[in-house]
Amino acid sequence: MPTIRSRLLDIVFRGRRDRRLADEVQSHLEFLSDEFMANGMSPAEAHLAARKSFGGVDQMKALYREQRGLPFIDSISQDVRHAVRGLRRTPTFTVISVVILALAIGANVGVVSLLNALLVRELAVREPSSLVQVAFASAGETDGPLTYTMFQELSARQQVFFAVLGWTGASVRDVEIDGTTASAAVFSATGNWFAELGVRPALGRLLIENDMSLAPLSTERVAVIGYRFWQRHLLGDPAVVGRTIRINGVALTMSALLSVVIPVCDWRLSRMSQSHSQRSRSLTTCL
Amino acid sequence: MLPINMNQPNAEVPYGMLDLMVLKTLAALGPLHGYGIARRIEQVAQGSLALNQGTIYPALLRLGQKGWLKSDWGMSENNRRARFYSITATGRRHLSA
Repeated sequence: MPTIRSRLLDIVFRGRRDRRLADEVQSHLEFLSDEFMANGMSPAEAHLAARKSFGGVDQMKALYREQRGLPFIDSISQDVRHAVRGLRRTPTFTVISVVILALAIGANVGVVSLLNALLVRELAVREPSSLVQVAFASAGETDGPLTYTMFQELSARQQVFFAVLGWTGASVRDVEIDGTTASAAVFSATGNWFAELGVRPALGRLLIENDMSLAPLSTERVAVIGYRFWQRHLLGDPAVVGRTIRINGVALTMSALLSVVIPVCDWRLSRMSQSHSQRSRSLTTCL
Repeated sequence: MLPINMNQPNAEVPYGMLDLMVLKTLAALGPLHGYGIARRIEQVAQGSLALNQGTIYPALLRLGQKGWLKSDWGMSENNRRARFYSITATGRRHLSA
């Protein structure tokens, strides 16, 4: 164990230890020269005799270095330095190789990140593991949507879930803001949608239960805007709350801005039937 | 006449022998610098050993790594600054074993 520790330290302090050995060798040679001069040799002769008596300095240093440090790492660092020098000499080849490698690695990283975000990572909502999807199973399909009536029944009578959220599948609609049209992915959700998922707005207020009430009819239809939509089509307007957006011709007031992109367009959550989406009083854009 | 050339890197080189001689020298004479140790070994061998004095340094390194000797700076007889090596308790134990 002490040997390994000593070798690791040697790698760190290599420069210092190299110098120390060089100093010692020099000193040793001087001692030898002194001795030979004391025996009557001329300085030049003494110098030669000293070197002869000492033996090969470089060989000794090589042996010494082998003993010290981790020769494996030493040889690797030597190879690396040699390789770098070689690469410097052929710049075109190096640049092309680096570009190709970067593209390949970048593409792989991109795909893996995308898969990670879509499939592996949890939803960026509160307690994602506590979410379950309730679907309608019939002869035709096992993963069908619920009608709004079913949804209401479920909400009223179930005793299993802490809360029931509903939403319609997202679809791309034409939206219009101050005369400019664009396309956006839009879906509707129940009033408790954001509260239950623990999402906070960056601006304004998110959906509340009252937005869904049919009696009395909520006076205002509201839309929540996603971050990227806001940047792209609303040009990051900080006064977005209160402005009007028309979705499929229906005017809604933009009530809130989401600060993060949450993947709410997700097949994992409960859905309301499409036909009742027009009934719902709240509209959300998702991105 | 047994010329032992320690510059050969492998196998039949009796590292152990040189290490032992270094230890014995330090045990007998107390702290010494590299040159002093090498000189003494040559003297004791009385010509039956053609030693390349430089080979003592890998030996000193080995012994230091094992903890059988330690080193420190000191002043030599002719007021030259040199590194002095001395045997440790562990080293002495190894010698007597």
